Amino acid sequence: MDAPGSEKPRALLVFLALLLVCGGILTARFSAPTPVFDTDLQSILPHADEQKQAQQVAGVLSSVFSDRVAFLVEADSPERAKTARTALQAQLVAANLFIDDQADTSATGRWIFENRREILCEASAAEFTEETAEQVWRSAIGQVFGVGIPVTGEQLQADPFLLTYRLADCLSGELGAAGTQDALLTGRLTSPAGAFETQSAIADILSAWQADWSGQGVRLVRMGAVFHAAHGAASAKREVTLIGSISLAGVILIFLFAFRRLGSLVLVSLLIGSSILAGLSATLLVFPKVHLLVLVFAATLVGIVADYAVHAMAARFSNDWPDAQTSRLLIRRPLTVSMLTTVIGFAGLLFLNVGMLAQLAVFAVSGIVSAWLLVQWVLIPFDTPPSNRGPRKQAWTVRAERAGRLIGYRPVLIACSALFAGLTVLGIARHTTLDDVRRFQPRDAQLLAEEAQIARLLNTSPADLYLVSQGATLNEAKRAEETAAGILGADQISGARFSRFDPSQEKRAAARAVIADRLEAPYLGAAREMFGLREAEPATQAAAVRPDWLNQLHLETDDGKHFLVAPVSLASGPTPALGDNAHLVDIPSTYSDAFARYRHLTGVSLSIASVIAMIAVVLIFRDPRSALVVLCPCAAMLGGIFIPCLFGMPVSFFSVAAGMVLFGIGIDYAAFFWESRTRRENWTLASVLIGAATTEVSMGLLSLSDTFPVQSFGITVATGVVCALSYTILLLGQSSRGESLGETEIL
Amino acid sequence: MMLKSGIVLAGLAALSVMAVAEETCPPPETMAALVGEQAFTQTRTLSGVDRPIISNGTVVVSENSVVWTVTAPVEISTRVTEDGIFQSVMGGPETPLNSSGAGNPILTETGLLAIMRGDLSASESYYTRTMYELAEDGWTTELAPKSETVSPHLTSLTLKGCTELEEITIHQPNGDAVNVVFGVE
Repeated sequence: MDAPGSEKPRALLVFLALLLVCGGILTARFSAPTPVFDTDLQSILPHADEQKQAQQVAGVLSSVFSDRVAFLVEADSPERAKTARTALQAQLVAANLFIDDQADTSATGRWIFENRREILCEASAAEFTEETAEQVWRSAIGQVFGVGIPVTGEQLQADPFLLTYRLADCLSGELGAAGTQDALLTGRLTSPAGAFETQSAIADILSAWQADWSGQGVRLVRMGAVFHAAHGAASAKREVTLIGSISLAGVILIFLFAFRRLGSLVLVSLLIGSSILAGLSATLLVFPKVHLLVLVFAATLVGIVADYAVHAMAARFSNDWPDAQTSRLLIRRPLTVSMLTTVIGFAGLLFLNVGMLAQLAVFAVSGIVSAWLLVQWVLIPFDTPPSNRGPRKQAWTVRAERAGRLIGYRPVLIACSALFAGLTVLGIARHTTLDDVRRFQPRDAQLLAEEAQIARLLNTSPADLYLVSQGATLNEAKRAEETAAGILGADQISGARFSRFDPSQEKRAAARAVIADRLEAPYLGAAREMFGLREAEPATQAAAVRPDWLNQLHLETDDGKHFLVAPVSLASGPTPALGDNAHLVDIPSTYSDAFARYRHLTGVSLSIASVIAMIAVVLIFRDPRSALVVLCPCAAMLGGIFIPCLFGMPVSFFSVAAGMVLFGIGIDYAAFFWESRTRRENWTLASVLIGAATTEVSMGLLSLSDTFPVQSFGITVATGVVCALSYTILLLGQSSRGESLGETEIL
Repeated sequence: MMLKSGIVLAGLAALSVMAVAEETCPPPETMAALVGEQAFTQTRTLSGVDRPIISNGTVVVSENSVVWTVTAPVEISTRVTEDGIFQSVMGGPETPLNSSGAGNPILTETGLLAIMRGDLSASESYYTRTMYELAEDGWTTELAPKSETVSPHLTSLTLKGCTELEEITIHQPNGDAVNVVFGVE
């Protein structure tokens, strides 16, 4: 029987209501001034706790270094290079994307001038000897009486020994020689390097600039984390686009082959789109922002949602398009079991206290519940029967039976299942894990070469290691940093260090004393007489304002603690003890720790969800053997995660995340098979096969990616789906009890 | 008629003066390089300082270097080469002058050395010419720096000379000035 016409208006109403509610939420959120999508990789770090505070602080403060960029413009002539560099600087600044280091020059100069009597070039006051003082005096004479050096009267009156120049020389020497290169542009980004918007904006500007200049023989050399991040994102995007296109074509072909109806494809597409829309709306209702990675993983809902639609359509096809209510009866229980258990799996993520995983849980749960509702009350009423339903049903039955015979051959099923189970055990025994973000995606060789070229010029090296010093007061933090820097050695600090430019009170007092004793006492009178200076004390120091770049190396947390960070390029070897208040923090390790923690938490969540799902399934079906509905997907999940380990694919957060998808898909297969066994229906196998095929071509094809996270996810799903099919058909298929595929019996 | 002939005479007189100046002082673009050892006197006029700071000495301009030797009131030797700038004070060891201190852009980034070698055209990369006067006793030209690195130290350069460079005055943003006169000790 056809679906009653009266259900269509109601279905349309339900669909429109959902669109209206989601549209309202999204419009409200997208029209707000605050950004809706969080694209910063920093956000995926686990929540702070006491043990991890140094890492958290390093994560925040290291963004100062991650956001740094340097460009070297190479051309036939220095003039052309300089002009091209100026053009690039203007474009970057005009886009509010970049702050040139030169912009802080006058503030830095003022800071050095104001602090000239309290900061020494020497590492300690003891090193400022009588000989050093004499050299300073001679140097001042040379600069005043020497030729061409533009000393001003005010400078000389306030700073007769020209300590400001001396200090500027030694401090800038420690920081590299960037200022002397006309074709070099250094500075920092105004937005996080990890954010996709930043990467995209930089790429646009560089493309436009290169279009203007590359024809004139101008070449650009780049240095900065933003370029590595952009390269990684671009190659992942290329792969996903390519694989996605193949997947889409594959899914369309499968649907057309199975149902031979374009309408089925449209309905499934609408269902998937609506479910994702509902998921996004619910997540934005609960959370202020959604991380883009959540969207990437939540998009894997496609596999689960498409399976729901396939079950509904296959059930209707096989049963000669009964009315909507009967159609719902055919799928309601297995669909509900599948929905509930999958929801339990994803909801478990809510209790892990990890922001990104909580967002994923809300997204997935709301998306799956929406799909469950929409399949029953929107898709079924709109799935109108074909005009030639008789021949269509006949053709479908033939195809379904052929598929059933092909895949239901028990000896092969037994052999495959035994093989998969054995390989899983072997994989568990031999598995390795990979959480190291440095190995997730190989860095681009061209970018590394460019980076090395600029690093040589700047006399620096890209740092992944940071010295984090802390104290109850800023002065205490400075003291901790000074002590640690002394232990490490000045040559190990590969960039600006806060306490080098703003020393502790103790160090300032020592510098003041030694300058007064060894320089001013013996030479100040002579300087005044020789230079014709008035008999006045050096000008009282004004309260100087720290330059912005220096402030960025300091963080005061809500509990009043002060943290300072400095980049370190420590040679390999044992890490020296730096005291209680200073630690070396490896930023990639911080991210790696985060992924390890996510892997562990997701694994725990899956285990708990499996136990709860098993209890729920046994209670629903009131049969202890129904535990197989959960055990089959669990075994498939283990197979998907651990069998690839035998072929060199380690277990990672991404493979465990794929395990979650497998759990949902596997339960779906098992619940429908359990139900079909009870009802002696013949359409489930075909339906599951179509679902499995679409999953393999949509998510399984990701295993072809060169990017580890994508590849790991794809291989796990591809392997796990095959395991799920094998275990489910063997243990829950009708033939497992010697039952033949007979006529459909609708209860 | 009287007025007309007066203007003609005045014009002729002016042309004859210019012709004399051009005969004796060619344009600065054709000036000769400062060759060999030249005496110089540097006078710094600094605000807030009671008296000008004067130093005398000699400068030797060669193909690869310029050596400024101050002999009074103290002995200072400043050697400018492509490898850097080195200074010795009162017979002490020669030490390099670093880039940020001592405002060395004046010595390295202003084309001053090229000017001393008689190559005024080289200064076009660094300066915009803001004034040029030709008088009987020579020419005066004023240059404003293009470089943002130099402009905080130097507002303009005034060059005076005839067949060769005779005087350089460096004008600083605060009104201070450094005047170097060649051939005078």
